[in-house]
Amino acid sequence: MQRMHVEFMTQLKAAAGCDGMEIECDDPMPVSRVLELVRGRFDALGPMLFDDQGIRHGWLMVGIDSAIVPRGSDPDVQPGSEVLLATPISGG
Amino acid sequence: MDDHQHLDDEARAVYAWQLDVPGHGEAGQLRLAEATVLVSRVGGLGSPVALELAAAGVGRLVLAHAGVVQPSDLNRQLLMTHDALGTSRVQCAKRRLCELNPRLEVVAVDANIDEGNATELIEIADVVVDAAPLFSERLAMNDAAFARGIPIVECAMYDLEATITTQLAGRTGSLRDLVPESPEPWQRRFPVFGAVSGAVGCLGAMEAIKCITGIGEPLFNRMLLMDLRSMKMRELQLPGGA
Repeated sequence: MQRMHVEFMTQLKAAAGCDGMEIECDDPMPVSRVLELVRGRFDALGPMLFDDQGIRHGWLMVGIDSAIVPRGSDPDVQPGSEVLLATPISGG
Repeated sequence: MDDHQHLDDEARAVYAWQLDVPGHGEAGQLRLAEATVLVSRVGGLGSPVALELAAAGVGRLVLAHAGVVQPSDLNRQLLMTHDALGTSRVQCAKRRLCELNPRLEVVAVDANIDEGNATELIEIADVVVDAAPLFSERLAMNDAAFARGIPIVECAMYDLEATITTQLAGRTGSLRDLVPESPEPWQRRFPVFGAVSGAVGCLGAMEAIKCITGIGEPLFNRMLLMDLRSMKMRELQLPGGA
């Protein structure tokens, strides 16, 4: 079984209490499925990933390997890839 | 400077080390002297941005930041001083910057950027550095910079993490492409060390210098993502490039 690594950054890392998780998979899966698996593992992350209608937040930063996924798109993630999830941050 | 045509002897002495940077030289230094940079908020991020730009010889800084110096500013807002507690942040910043570089012209605006003043303030700038905490002001500023077609450096931090990218109409996507609205989880106060804001602030100043002088490659369509806990630094490709 292959794996993909999901890395949490910014407020997601704090809410999850860890840096990320591994997902076992032999086949590609869409980003939306990855997010559902993350929510299933970490309840606290649910509201930071999806809105009340269960739609991915437009401001959620999703990266696959070294590229940020365009807002609203749902590309496949390949086994062995790294998915990065982050909420937006600012100055202060 | 002599009518912005030549560096005088004092300027050559002050900027001697950076005049030797390949691709910069006297022509680049004159471009810095003639440039105006708007720095939105001179807090944890904006303070090192403004300090580095003042030290580098940028001719004019427009500093926009409302409010007075508070004790909780002092862990990271390097332009603020203990003896200025309770007085205007932006006036304190102006005083410190002019001590560093008496040639610098500072336009101190005792207000934060919003939809009402963004266009007016950006009208006089060649480059904008966004070091503000609230997404409403960041989006207003980014919209105005895109409407005017000037580069805007977007700096951000949280905990021991930081991001930076540079955006320009016609070359890159905008902040609104990444963050269409204020994200619910964002809170005005968040955990951070001054060393984190200092690190990303210095990078923000370098991006502004690159935009003004033409040396190097600004972070167009790229985001530098830094995790100072692990010292892992990555470059991410951003969508929305022209």
